Amino acid sequence: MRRILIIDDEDDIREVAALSLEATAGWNITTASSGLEGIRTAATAEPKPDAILMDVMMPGMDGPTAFRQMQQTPGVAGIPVILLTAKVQGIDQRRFAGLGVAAVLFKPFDPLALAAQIAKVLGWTEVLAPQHSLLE
Amino acid sequence: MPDEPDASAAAAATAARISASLDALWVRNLPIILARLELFDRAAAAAHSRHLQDDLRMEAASAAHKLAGSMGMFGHAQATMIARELERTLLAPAPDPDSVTTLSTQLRAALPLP
Repeated sequence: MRRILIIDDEDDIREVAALSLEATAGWNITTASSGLEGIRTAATAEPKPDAILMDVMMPGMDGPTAFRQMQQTPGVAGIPVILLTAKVQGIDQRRFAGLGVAAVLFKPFDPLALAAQIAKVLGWTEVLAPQHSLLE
Repeated sequence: MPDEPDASAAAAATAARISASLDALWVRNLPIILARLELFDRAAAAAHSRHLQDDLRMEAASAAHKLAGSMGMFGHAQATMIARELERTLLAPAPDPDSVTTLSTQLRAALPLP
């Protein structure tokens, strides 16, 4: 079973993303509401998450800053990080991708498609059951 | 294919479960959404009176950003687009007051509010 850590300061995003990944993929989900909490959670988790899904714009420590700190944290550095952002302009996408994260996904996400998107960008080959889109 | 009806039924059940949870979450989040819409109204009023300070402008831009990132998740794609445009407008040093007013009015109209 895949383990995902979701880091986002917005309660509704954490809740919907967690529900989405649990319901559609059966993944085990942990959440954190800030970059700092996310780093601590990842560092102390056993077993480690298979991936981290992290918001970009968060108060205090933003996603890119948290990512850079994760790269310096033993046991966390090797965990693939996917940034989640509502910024859709090309310049922002390039900046985020240039950080060295595994992928950048965009908000708003389709709750029924999020697991498949994550699996695709990380090259996970498990077969996820086909889902109907809610966003039609 | 014998598995297809089961897979389809399971997918439908998952979609229904998520949809129900989204509906409940929408109701719980309404106070936050309404507060953000009121923030846009305050920013628009301040812009019209040429007293839109940077802290209010950036707070409103941040709120628009949050709505842009979440409204589509609830199925309100139009609201996401409007919120995105509102964020872009508010990020300008001197946002056009009429644009702020129009966009916040459009945003209210695009959402199922009480």
